[in-house]
Amino acid sequence: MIRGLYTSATGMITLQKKLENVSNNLANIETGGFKKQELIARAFDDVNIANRSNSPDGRLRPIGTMQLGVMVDDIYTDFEQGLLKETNNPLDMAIDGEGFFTVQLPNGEYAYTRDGGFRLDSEGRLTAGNGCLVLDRDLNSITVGTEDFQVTGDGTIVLPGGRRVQLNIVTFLDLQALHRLGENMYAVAAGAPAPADQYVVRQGFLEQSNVNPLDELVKLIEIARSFESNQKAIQSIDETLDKAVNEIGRL
Amino acid sequence: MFKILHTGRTSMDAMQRRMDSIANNIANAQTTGYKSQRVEFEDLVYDRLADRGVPQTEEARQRQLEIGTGSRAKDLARSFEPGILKETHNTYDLAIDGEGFFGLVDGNGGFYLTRDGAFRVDAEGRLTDSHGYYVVMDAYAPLSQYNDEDVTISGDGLVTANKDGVNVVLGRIRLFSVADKGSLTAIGGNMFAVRNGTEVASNLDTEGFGIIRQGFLEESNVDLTEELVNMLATQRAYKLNTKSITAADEMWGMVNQLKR
Repeated sequence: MIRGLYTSATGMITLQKKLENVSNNLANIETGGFKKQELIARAFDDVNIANRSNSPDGRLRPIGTMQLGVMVDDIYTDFEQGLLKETNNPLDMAIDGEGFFTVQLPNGEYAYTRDGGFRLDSEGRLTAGNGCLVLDRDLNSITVGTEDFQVTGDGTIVLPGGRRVQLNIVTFLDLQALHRLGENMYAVAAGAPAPADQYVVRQGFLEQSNVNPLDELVKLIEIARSFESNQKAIQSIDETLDKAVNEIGRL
Repeated sequence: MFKILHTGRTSMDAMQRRMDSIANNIANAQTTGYKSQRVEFEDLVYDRLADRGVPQTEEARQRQLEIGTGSRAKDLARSFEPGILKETHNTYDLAIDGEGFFGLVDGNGGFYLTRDGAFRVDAEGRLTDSHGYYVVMDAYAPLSQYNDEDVTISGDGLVTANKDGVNVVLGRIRLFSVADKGSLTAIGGNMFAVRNGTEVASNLDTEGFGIIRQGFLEESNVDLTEELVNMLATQRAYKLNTKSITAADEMWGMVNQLKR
């Protein structure tokens, strides 16, 4: 019976984490290039259950297997394409298809982003919204110096003088290995990026978040109700325990 | 639970910021030379799931799963897309058809940029804006000794007066530009202040600042329809985040009821 208390408690903890995840998705419903995450839960491993008390010869009698709770198995990022919103700003670029823009963090490491709301810094270099430099195919920063430039579908910036620079758009074999840095950026712990080819870069557009409010609200209801069920289970176990402790022994 | 309440709150704060900027854009839908601003968002740092008493599989532990903690507003971005030029026929109403800005200096030597070209001539014959700040130009002669209708300002800023069939060059209006328009700070009065150390280019050195159009004013570049649509979306997103807060609140209530 006490075992049941803990089973329900693991359910409540996991649901709480699910709600944390849903609330983060909802919080980023307007974040450019945001990719929603899903928390995947799994039952505890099966354990053998045996019973001694009702056995005629007093030996352990196996009565089958049982799972004693639920735990977090994975947090999966859904890299589904977000809608493209037209902004008419020449510095806004969206990737339609696979791949990420490559940027350089202040500490020199590389990071990857789907948020193409770029700016120019005081030296006319292309930067991400947080000031990180956007890199070209040779991993150099891109000096444009003007907002009067064209971007072709393959991510080549054509400057007024005819100079061409191609944005470094890369993808990864295992997208789930990317981890998030915040500020719309991803980093990779292991595994090198490979050039992406299934994409079109659109200038004057921004990719919107791929969070679907309807899905998330349904999940929210599901989580709140499952949580309530777990709470009821704990309460009824508590009542049963109360009876066992206080009433059975009463003469 | 406390964290979830906080996650929802971060986003509501960010939405509030966007709503403020939308309200400001709508208020300036008729302001000469106004440039609309917009707020974009970014996600906050991700928090490790491990070591917080959360039951998880061995693989999950090794992969160091992370859950986000909300969103926030990025720096304000301003759209320097040109506004529509409206014809006024006034001699000293100037609009820039291109990327540049007019320069203004106040009495204390402060330097500002503006796209609002509704100028006038003061008693001393100098070209000023509506606040009395001087328009940066190479002045050769006071403007006040000529009638307004005799003064022409050419596309490259050359101010000439025609009196009794004789053309007199009175000065040349300068245009300015900065590479990083994001570094300009709006200080009100349709003016932008330039951050210290930012290089300001002038059209006397290089080309590509645009053409001055006399008798026109640049209207605000705010697109009212877009602003109203954004307003609706922002309001909905705000409401949506109250839902996750309410859900967290209800669940916390259930936890509190566990022990009666």
